[in-house]
Amino acid sequence: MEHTLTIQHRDDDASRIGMWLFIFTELFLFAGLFLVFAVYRVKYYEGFHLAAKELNVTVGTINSIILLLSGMTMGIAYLAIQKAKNKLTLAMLGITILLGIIFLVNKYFEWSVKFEHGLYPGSPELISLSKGDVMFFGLYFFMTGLHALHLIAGLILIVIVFGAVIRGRVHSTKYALLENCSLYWHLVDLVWLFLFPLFYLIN
Amino acid sequence: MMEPIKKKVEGYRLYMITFTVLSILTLIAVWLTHVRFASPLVIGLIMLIAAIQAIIVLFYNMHLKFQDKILTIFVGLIFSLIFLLIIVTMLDFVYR
Amino acid sequence: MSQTSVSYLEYQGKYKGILGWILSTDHKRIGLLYLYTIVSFFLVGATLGLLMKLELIAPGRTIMDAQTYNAFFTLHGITMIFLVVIPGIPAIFGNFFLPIMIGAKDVSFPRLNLLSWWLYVIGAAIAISSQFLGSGPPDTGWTFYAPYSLRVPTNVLSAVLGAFVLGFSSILTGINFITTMHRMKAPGMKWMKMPLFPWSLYATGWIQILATPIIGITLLMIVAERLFKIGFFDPSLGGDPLLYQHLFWIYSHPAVYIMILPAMGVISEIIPTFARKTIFGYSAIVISSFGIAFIGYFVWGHHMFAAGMSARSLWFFSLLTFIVAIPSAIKVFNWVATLYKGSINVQTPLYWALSFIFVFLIGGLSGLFLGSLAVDVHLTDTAFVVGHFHFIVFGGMGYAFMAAIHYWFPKIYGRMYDKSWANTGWLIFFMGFLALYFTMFYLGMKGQPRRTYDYFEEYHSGNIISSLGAIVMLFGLAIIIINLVRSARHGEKAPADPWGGKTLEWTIPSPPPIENFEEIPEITHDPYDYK
Ligand SMILES: [Cu+2]
Repeated sequence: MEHTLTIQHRDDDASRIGMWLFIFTELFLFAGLFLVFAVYRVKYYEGFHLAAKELNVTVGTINSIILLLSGMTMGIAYLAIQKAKNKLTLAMLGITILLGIIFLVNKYFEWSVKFEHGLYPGSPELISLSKGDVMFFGLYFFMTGLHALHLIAGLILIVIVFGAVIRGRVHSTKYALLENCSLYWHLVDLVWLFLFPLFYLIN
Repeated sequence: MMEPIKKKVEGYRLYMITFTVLSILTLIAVWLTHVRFASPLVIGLIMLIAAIQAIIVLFYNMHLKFQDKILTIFVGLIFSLIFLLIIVTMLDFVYR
Repeated sequence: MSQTSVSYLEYQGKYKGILGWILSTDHKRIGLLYLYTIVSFFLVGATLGLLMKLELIAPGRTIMDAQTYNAFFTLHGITMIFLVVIPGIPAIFGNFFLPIMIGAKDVSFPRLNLLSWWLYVIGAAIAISSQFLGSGPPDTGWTFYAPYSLRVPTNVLSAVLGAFVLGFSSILTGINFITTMHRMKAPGMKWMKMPLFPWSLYATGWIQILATPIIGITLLMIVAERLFKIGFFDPSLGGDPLLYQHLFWIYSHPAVYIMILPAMGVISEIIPTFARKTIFGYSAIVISSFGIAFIGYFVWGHHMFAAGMSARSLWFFSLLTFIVAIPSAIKVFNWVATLYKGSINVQTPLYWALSFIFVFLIGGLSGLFLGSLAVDVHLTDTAFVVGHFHFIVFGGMGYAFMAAIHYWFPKIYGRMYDKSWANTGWLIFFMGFLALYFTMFYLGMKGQPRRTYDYFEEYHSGNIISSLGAIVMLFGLAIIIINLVRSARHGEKAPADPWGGKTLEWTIPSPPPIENFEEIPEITHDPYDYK
């Protein structure tokens, strides 16, 4: 029989649409948090203003640039696979992974400084400060933490794609997985573009 | 609707250009915080820069520009919906 | 015989027996998996409901104490809302019939579809485990209102996590359906030639994608509050409990439309088939779905009229609540106009569809009482509210579910049920339903509060009627279920098109072959093409 019983026809456009819909969901996940941020920023205008000065703008800026750079390498990987340049693709994916890890390491040091100063949710020092401070650092840890989780998920995805390129599962005529991975990575980028000014710059 | 994308493999340069523009915008935003303007103006400018960056990422890095228009419309609606959501909630917190 | 003409019920794939079901990526089998799990949970929820009504048959303690009652209404709410009503129609009938009705062989992402079901089962297990693990069953109500939910020692955490996982399952289903409709419509099927049930699933899918993440993040915030004492919603740390209510209802009001839109889609399929007439105002029905979806996104505040919102929010949400009633009313007019001068074929699905319109009308109009600010102050947190949302949710989604199962049963199992038993069951159920919930309007207006296991003597007679109604209703339900279960095995064989329906699912054999269509059909005419 010419009928195949498992429906196997490939539809890259479908998988791209599915990925975009998933990105919409993710955007709304963060939108809920931005909403909370907006509410408490209005409510504790002064407190947020002062608390934001505790954050290190230099580290934040460096991390922003790192993330933007990783966006570039990801984009190049996406183009390279279409031109069948698998070595370049792998190199670019590798650099992207590295940049992601550097971002996380920076984040780790940034967080641990806050912990040393007792500026973490539930700490007696933080509770002794104003309610604006409590709310600012609560949101800071929750939002950057959730963003970092997404970044880690993105890294895992890139590692999977890396393996798929090596094993030839992703190649110049079949690269939907890499494309979706790149979309996801840029989502992580996109969210950070708003997190950075809101926490570090507006004070 | 949602026909296959217009296939157009752009050069690597596109990504280098967007990276440069995005970085410069970030640096401008950081620099703005040191300028002593009226603070609402600075906040407005910084958020405007973030919005421009988001549009660049969406259109070039995420290839919206090279896809079916309907997707762009969807993305536009999504962001408007988020915006409306925040406005409507604020109706309570600002005027309470 | 060619492999493709084997029915999906008998097909032997890579896995045999039960594994052939729980690991199947066939959308029809997944639909049935959902059917069996959801109906099981419905029976659990219904039993809890019956026990609560028995407690309320007399004032004071009757069969359970206050804490047990609180735990019961919490579990009843979580089960019915998250496990039954939200996934109900899309996950069962959407999975089974969406691909068939648009002329496709499956959904766009069959494996993701199976994952959704597994996530559903896992989420359900986590939610149910809250009853047995840790420090006692949660007693917050299904709404998990802060700050109470942040501080009670009961096992709120796993209930919240379960709801989170269930939300994820719902989102994936929405993504799958929308993509399927964009990519897999049969050749010639333009958007405006798509049947109305898929259309309703399309609008629902968007709400699932755009509203569910809000509850996801809110539940995560509850988890973070309980674990790390962040203080988002805790007034002692500077948080605002009203913000929790905002976030919760930003999802949970649109969730009502996740429940009701597919129900309306089912009714829009059944009415033309049994009126043997083209649907009246096809495009009005399509557009009103999106009107409901969009406006329904901005009415959440009507759940908070008595909570202390700003005056501007009050009138904004009240106004929009009145406006959102309009597109629903448009649909009702369309259904009634379709029946007008039709050659009506009275069968069980039509009984359910007509009684749906009746109860949905009462539910909707009682909602307008609650939507008006002054009246709501009097009615908030009374039995009136309970009556209202059971008319909408149970009377809406529940009746449409019954209509759908009686409409598509011969297609799903290839056998016909006993029609006279089905009609008897419907009549008893309908009578019991009215006695049970209609009295709640009266009791609520008299001032009986909801969510209490006790009440004053003056409410006694009303509660007796209501509780007897519950018993009658469940008796009717038992007849319906026994009839269907018996018929699935022993009913007489059903033809391909027992009702004279015109949509694509009636053009293929009953039960459908594993690949639905031998050849993908070419669509040349409108979906409801009656002379
Ligand atoms: Cu509502």
